[in-house]
Amino acid sequence: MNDALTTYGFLSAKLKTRISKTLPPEAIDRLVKARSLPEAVLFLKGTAYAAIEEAYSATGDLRAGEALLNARELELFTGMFRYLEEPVLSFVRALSLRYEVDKVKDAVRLWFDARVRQRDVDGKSAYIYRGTIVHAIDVDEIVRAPDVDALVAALRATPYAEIARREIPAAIAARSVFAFEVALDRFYYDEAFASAERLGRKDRAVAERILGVDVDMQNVSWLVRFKGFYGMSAERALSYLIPRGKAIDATAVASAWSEGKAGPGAGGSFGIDLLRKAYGDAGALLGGGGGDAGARLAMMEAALRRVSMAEADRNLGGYPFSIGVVLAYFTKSREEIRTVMTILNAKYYSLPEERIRSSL
Amino acid sequence: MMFTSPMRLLAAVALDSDSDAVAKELLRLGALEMVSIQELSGDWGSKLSKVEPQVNLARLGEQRRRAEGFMSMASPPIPRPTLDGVSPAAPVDLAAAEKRLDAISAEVNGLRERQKAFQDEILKLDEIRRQIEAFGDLKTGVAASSSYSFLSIRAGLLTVDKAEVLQKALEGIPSVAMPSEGKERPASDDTIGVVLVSLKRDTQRIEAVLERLGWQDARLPESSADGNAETLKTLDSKIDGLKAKQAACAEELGAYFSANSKDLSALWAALRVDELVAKVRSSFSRTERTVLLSGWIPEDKTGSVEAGIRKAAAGGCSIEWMEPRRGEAAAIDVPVEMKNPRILKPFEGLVRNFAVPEYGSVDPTPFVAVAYLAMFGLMFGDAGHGLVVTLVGFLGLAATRKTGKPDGLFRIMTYCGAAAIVAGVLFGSYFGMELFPALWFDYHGIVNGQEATGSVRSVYDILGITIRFGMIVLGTGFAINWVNLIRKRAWFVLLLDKAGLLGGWIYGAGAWAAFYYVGHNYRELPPLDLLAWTLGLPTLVLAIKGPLEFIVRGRGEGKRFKPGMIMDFFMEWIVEILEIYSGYLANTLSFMRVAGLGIAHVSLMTAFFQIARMITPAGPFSPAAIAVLVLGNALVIALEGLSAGIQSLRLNYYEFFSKYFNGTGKAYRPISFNGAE
Repeated sequence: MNDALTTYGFLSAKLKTRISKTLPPEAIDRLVKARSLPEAVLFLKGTAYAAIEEAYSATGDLRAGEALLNARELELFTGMFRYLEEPVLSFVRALSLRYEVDKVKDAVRLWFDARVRQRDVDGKSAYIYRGTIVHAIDVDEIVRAPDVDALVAALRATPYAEIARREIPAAIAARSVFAFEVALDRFYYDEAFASAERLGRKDRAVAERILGVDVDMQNVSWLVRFKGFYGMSAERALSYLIPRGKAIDATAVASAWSEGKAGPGAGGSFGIDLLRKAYGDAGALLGGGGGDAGARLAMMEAALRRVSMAEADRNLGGYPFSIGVVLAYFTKSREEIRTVMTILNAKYYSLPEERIRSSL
Repeated sequence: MMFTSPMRLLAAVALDSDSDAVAKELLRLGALEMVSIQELSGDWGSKLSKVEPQVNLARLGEQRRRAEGFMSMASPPIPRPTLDGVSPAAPVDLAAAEKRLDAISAEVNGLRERQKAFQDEILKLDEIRRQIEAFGDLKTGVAASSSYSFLSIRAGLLTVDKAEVLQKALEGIPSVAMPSEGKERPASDDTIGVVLVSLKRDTQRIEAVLERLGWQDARLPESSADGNAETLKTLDSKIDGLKAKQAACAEELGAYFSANSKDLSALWAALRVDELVAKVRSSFSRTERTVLLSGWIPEDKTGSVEAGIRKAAAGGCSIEWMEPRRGEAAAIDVPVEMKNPRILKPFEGLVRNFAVPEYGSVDPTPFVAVAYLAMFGLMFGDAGHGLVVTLVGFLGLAATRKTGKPDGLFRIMTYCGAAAIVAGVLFGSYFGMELFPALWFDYHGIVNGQEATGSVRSVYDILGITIRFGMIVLGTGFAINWVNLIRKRAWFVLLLDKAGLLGGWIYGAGAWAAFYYVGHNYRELPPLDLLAWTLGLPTLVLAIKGPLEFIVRGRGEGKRFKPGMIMDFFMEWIVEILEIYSGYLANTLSFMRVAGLGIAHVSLMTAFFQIARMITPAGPFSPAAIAVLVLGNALVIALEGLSAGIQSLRLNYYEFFSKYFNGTGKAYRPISFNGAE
């Protein structure tokens, strides 16, 4: 087994160099303040997001630029495979399943919109990444599938076929792919945690901590929606919970659920209570928890993202030859792409500056 | 050039009514680094108020950046005009400027929307294309189209004239209509078979069109595989057409900017002038009727600046000049201007890259230039390789001249190439071959173990040359440090510091002892009494440094002697001895890398020649052997060039600079019309 320096030396340098190219706060501020979408996109020239500017200048299509950027990011990630050896390789592969799961979600959503909801999806599959991440998946075959059997067949030789066979009929009946997507997310986290267990002691601790925060974010976000917007029962909500969160587990949720104010609209404050108990630091970011459920939800998601970013920064500032740098890059790059695209999409819809800032 | 430029601090008072003219004149002269008058000591500073800007500086900056953005959007980008001659009569109307820029933004947005509409069509046609490819056969598509895919594929008959109308009617609907060449084509001359591929979503719209044109359904031709290829071809041509329309939009945008370039340039210039004037004015202070300004100026420009201010204020001003680090200017950091001829500017960049030297100290740029080029030449001594590096440098310079990007790296490349040519001629090396006899010594011959004559006969002699070279470089470092310390009147440090006279004495004596030992075949050290005087004495003198420093400085700071300090002084002495002896030895031996890189250069070239000889054992080289030599030379130029460049830099930064360089200076950044933001 290689030592930490051999395993992570090159990778750490490569990823840290990439992280050094992240947009400074002034650049984000300029983007937010830009008067129009073309002017905002122009600020991306010469940055790590130049692909968006190039694609937008040539086609006027923002999503084409986003797809190109995501594809490059994915290629960087899959490109790391060749520098790695087991058990780190399996763990990084498992992490990249996150992108693959998102790809399957995007393709099945299009299929669902076209077949079940009878909506127009022409041309929309062009934005989905076509390359192989871990498993070979034919996006067109999924989108074109005439029925569930064909959809399952399109996912053959991937673990997603079984999930589709189990969940899609119910999704059609409920006219929502939510349960299918939750099953995909659970699959991803199961794989990530399973491969993390095979890492060395120090790496495992770092990986489980970061994945735990990630799971907490996912769980709280869902639970708030279940309770606040769908008025779901605690038992059913808990059944969706992804196990192994860092601080928020079934007991914490059940206790917060029973203490929480019942009824739709209470979801935001429920989530804030849960979050305050789990993360002392994040509590300070949550203020009084006032406003409507939607505003509280947005505030909570922002706080959770900060928790996640703080965890990433902690890893970047710590020992450089560990899986922490890979995970930190994973978190930071996803977050920055999300921020940039949120701003640009808001510019497309000419949303005011305050509204954009509130959603960052 | 020898030292950093002497500076003077300006303090001026002018009438408030002349402040705009004074600000513009200062920007035109571009020599003043502004200092807030409040920073000058003296209690009168607190009685002044800041000059409030007449315009919103942030808003001005934002509009100026918007204009810059649009200028960069043009193809080619609209260059920023120089501002020296710009003298707008009145401040720019910000609201009008914003309105103008909003109009440009709307125009760009409109064009992007049009491009996006074409892109949507392209994506839909791409979707059709992918599905047709997936079917493999149009007939399969027709048969399966009821349940499979979003495609609708149908065949039918139309009169020839209607077939043309059909093409026009389908514009804007993602679809392909093409004549069928199959057996099913009717004998009648005025009808034509048509295969129509579209998206099911558009069925109703297409149905209406077909009904209007008298479409009759028919069976698909047998030769559907050909039809498939034909369909894909038609789709490709449609996609190409849409892409051309997108490109036309981009061209339209280019034409729009060309038509508006003068306007945009003028608007940018007006915004920039107002912004800069506002920025300069914001550092002024005021009384009821006057403004006060202050800033650093190089001594040789004080005359022109004074004349400029007096002219702008029509004589109604008072000007005072102050010496740096004295009186009211004592507390203000003095900026550092390094004034070197153009030829040395790239090396000035290397120095700045490390740090800005302390104000008033020796500017190391000329020494760095000489040392860097000598090191590079010794490590990369091949006239042919040097020629290639020089040519690449010139090509880079030509390219940067067009793009306006910084050219420092390419300038250094041309100098390094020239240094390598000179060294190559001295060593008789031309692309690894001895085309002409060496003027100094045959580097290749010595490394390859050939018999040599003259003063340099073996690899050890080459190592000796680089060590002597290193001693010259370090000795120069000592000398520069002594000059700096004398200028600072830091007598104590000059005498007893490890890079001071005492350190120099130990280094010189150590070098003499080492050469004595080597000169006696590593068998005999210098006489002991001589060693005691030359090395022992200064080492002992070093022991009084700590106590003396305490007496001279510590008492002044109110420190009291404690017995435990004796141990501290002793330990400091031991550490300093170790630092001097091991540090200086390491610094000197570090220069052996110069020989190491040079030997590696020769060895690599020898290896490639041997490979070439293995391919062609005798006679003229075969094409394959020549290819090996060309690739080998290219590899050596790239790898060794990079190594030699980096190692030269390293030796300058860590061995040479560590003897004298105090990088605590602050770069002089005057504000000017054409300076960087």
